[in-house]
Amino acid sequence: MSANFVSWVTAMASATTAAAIIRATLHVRRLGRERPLRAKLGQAMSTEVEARVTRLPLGIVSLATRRLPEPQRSELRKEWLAELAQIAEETKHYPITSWVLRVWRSMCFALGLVWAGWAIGRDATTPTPMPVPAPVHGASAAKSFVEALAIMNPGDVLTENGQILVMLEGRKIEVRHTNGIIGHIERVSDDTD
Amino acid sequence: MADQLQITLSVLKVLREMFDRPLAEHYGLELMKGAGLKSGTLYPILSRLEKAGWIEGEWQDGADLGGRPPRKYYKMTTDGMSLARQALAEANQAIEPKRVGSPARPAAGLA
Repeated sequence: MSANFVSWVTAMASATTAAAIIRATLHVRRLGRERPLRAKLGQAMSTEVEARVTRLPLGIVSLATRRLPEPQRSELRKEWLAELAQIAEETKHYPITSWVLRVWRSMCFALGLVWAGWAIGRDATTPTPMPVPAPVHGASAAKSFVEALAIMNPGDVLTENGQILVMLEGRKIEVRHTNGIIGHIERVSDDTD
Repeated sequence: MADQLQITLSVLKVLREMFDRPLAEHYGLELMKGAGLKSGTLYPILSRLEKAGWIEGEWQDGADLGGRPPRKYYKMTTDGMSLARQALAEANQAIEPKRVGSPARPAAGLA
């Protein structure tokens, strides 16, 4: 009885062990079959995401250059793409954080360019304001007026006792300085007078 | 020339960065790091400085780049150097704290 019981227990133990071994083997085989597929899928997905995210700054640069005026567009696009390449070059030396750093820096750079493109485009379309002449007063104003007359007039400009005389084509033109750099012709007479 | 250019703090930062090595050639990324500016601020400034004739851009020679795209380098012009010197001097003068005679401290125990 006891011998039977012992043999029965031994048989059961052997069977359980065998079953466990078989189950473990099957499980390992199943894992072995599933792992490469899952790994491949994961790797493919990560490559896809990486490629798409890496290309994102290029798309943003293209968007930024759309706002630029035609003459500057291709040159600035070329310049900015070269800088993006430089960012990639600088970050490739970090084996663990390379991709994240590259994407982060490229995105920051490219997003800033959207603003840059808009600002450069605005500068190009806004007419440059004419410089406002500095106000002139008193004696310096009269001097400026005489100088202006001399520049604009091929004739001689003389000043006699505060009176401005312009000698032009044998005529004497008396000019009075009115205000600032403004004056008016008071009298025109022959030089022989 | 200088009338067309508005000298802001960011412009001064770029000028100072370039003026530290006036004969050297600078590229955008380097100026961004040196001046501590974002690309959105730097490139409009470079465009204005170039238009005003303070700096000039030159493309890198493509012969020995190892497949890398050529970059644009910026250099100060002779006029730009003197104008930048003037602008930086004016800015330094403007931000220099004015020395005002500090009021005499009341003697201890008299307050």
